[in-house]
Parts: sequence; structure tokens; C-alpha cells
Amino acid sequence: MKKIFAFLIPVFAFALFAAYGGSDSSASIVTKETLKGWMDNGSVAVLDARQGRDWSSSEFKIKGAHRTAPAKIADWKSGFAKDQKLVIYCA
Amino acid sequence: MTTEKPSSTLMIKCIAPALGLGLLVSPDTLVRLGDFTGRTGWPGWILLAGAMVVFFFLAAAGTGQETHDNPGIWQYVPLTVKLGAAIFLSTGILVSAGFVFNEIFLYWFPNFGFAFLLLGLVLGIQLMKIQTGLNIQALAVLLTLACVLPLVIGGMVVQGPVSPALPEQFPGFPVLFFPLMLWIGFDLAGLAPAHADTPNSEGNNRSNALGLTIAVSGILFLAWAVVSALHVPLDKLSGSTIPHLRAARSIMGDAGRYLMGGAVIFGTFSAVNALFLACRISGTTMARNGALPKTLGKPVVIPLVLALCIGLMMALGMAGSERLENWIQAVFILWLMTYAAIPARRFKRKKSPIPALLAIWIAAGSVFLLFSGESPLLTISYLIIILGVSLAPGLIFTLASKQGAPKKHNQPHN
Repeated sequence: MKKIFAFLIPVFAFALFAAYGGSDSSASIVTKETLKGWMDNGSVAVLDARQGRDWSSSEFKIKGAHRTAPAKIADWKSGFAKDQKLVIYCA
Repeated sequence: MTTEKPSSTLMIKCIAPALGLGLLVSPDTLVRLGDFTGRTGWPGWILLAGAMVVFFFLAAAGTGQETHDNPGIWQYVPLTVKLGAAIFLSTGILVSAGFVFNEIFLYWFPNFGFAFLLLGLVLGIQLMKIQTGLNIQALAVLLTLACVLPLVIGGMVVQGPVSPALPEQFPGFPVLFFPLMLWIGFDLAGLAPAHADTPNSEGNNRSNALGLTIAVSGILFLAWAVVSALHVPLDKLSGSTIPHLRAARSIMGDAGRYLMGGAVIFGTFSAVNALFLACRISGTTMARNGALPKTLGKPVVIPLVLALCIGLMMALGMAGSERLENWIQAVFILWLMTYAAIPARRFKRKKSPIPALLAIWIAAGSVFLLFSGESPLLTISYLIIILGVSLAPGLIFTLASKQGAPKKHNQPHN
């Protein structure tokens, strides 16, 4: 019994931590259908802000998305018009 | 699950190679192998076979026993590279496994949630006996192989859309050394035989376990390189961050994706569990020999510290930083350099040409690989930091003993 507890406690502790850090409710979300409509109209620029493994491990990359480093915003922000609608995805 | 010491046969044929194969079946190895295949085409298969021979010679030269008979200021280097790999590589591959689980199996499950769950699972296993961890390691490696083998067989049986060819561009001289990176971690197989029921034959057990690890991984690498080149154009393999998934998809479609997804998840578990076990075994051995404080020799301390470091790094978003790759590269190159030291020591004793050639080849490979990666200066600076951390305790011991305090050799220190 002691062994089972020793095994389960860290598993649950990490799962709790993960669940807590799993989402950010303050970010507004766009459905893929809406985004597709915007992309078809050409009214949006999609920015892929994923870095490191977040980007390299992923199988899914949106066609036509611009890879941008959040830390280098000064370098790339001038490439977009001020009234341009931007959709950023980071995970 | 039994916690008795297994027979030496079971140890050599299954458990010890599973520890050695832990890192070798990790998803990062598959990425390196895919990239290498894309850069070299079919001549790469010859280089792979050549590297396999180099590692057979290394095993014969005594790799895998450095933690037991390597006193002096260098004795902490093998442990430090394992700790470094356990922290940096695990952070990277756990997050990668989280993405694979999220994208292939369960889209609504948070990727970081899965990464933490996997880390928690490894930690939970590490809080049990070492032998339990070794048995689970063998199971995890078998499951990884069970996911990859149908893809290899399918890839051989099904006619691929491409014929393996030569790459359009000459890949450059450093490519000769790329396969050396694939076998880093094979020496972990040498740590397990001490747990067998026949300690007197530990040396033979170790050599056999290392040999079996190299043979199994070599056949697997060659087979995967061949099927990848048969099913994906070389230019799509080289530079891809997911060449293994591309190849799996091309071989079996969605079923291939699921199989490779399973291989990535079980392979990640195998690599992280193997690194935790290796650090634990090395740490307890060194603490028993008085080379580390006794506190670190307690079975749960090293796994807890490692899990805490990895958890913090994941929570702080280190996996999203390009610098993580430089840390991993630095650790791996330092690990490779430790392999060069073993034949060099043997050459010093026996003046035989083979160990000298081995040492020169691996040392040259380390240097070329160091400079052929991304941001080599950053990698060099990280390598120096890791080396500094490795040498500091050894220097303290050496200075303490020179000041006439020989007893401190057998005393724990802080």
C-alpha cells in the first residue's frame, strides 16, 4: 500500500500542476472555421509564435503562417500594416 | 513485479540492453537519424555501419565502467553528463511527447499536461526499487520496438514511392561524424549488470550487454534509415524536425502515424526513465565509495531533484527556447568526449594503435560536431559551464588530499 502511495502521489501532483497550467482563459480564441474564412478573404495575417520544441515537435503548421519570435517583435512588427488583423498561435 | 535480482542471462539479454537502448530509441535519435539519412542518401548506410563498428571497439575498450574505476578530478564528468542529459534532454523530449500525444491521440488533452504526467510517472517508478525501474525499462523499450518494427517491416514490404539516391548537395565533411551522436548513451547498459545474481562475472556481463545494445540499435538504425529513404524524398528528410513521422505516414498512412506516435511516447518514457535510473545507479555507487555526500546516495534524492529541475524548466517554458538545443548539444558532445577518453587511457597503458585511432576519431568527431551545429559559440560556452560543474568537486577533493587530509577521500562533502 505504501509503495502504491509513493507511486501515485508524484503522478497526481504533476497532473494537478499540469491541469492548473494547461490553459489561459484571458486569451481570446478564434474557431478554425472563422480563421479559414478570414484567410480565404486575405483579411488576416497568421503569426506562428511557437518557438523551440513547441514548433519543431508539431506536425501541424498553418500554410501561409509567418514564423515570428515574440521576443523580436521590434524586428517584424513593421512588416504588417497597423490596421492589419493578426491572429497569433502559440501552441 | 519481482524485485529479486534477476539471473545474469536475463540481465544480459534483456534488462541491461534495455537500459542502454533507452536513449537510443528516444524521438531525438529518430530525428537525428532522419536528418542524417536525408543528407547522405544510401552512402549514409555505410557510415552507419562504420559507426557501429567504432562503438563495438569502444565497448571492447572498456566503455561503461568509467564510473567504477575513474578516480581523480575527472570522476564526476560521467555523472554530470548523465545529470545534464537527464535535465535538458528530458525537458525537450517530454514536451515533444506531449505534442505528439495531443496531435495524434487526444487533441483536447493539454500537451504540457501529458508531459508532466509522463514525468510524474517516471518519478513514481523511481521511488520504487532500482530493479523495478529496470524491469519497467525493459517493458518500455520492448513497447517502443513493438511500435517501430511493424513500420520497418511494412516499409520493406510495401513498394516505396522513391528510390534511394545520392543527395543533390555534398553534405560536408562533418557528416562523417554524425552517426557518432546516434549511439550516445549506449554505455548505460554497463550500469545494470551489477544487479545480476553473479557479481563475479560482472565484467563479462557488461561487455555482452554493451555488445547486444550496439547490435540491436545498429540493426534498427540501418533498417529505419533504409525504409525512410525508400518512402520519403531525401530533401524532405533532411532538415525536417519530424522526419520519423513523415516516414511513418508515408509507409502506413494514419496507422503509421499512430504507431510512430506510440513509439515516440514509449521512446520518450524509455529515455527519461533510463537517464533517471543511470543517475540513480551512478549516484548511489559514488556515494557508497565516498565520492558524493551520503544524502545523495539515498535512492529517492537524485530522482526528486531531477524531476524538480525538469518540472521547473518545463513550467518556465525552456522547451520553447532555442537555447535548450544548445544545452542538449553541449551535454551530448561532452558525453562523446568521455568516450574518447577511454581508448586514450588504454593507449597510454598498452600503446596499441586501435585505441589511439578510436580516441582520435571520436575526439575529432566531437570537435567537428561542436562547430557544425547551430550557434557553436553558445554551445561551447555551455560545454565549458558543464565541464566546470563536473570538475569543481574533483578539484576540491584533490586539493584537500594534497593538503594532507587523506581521510577526506572517504568522507562525504558539500
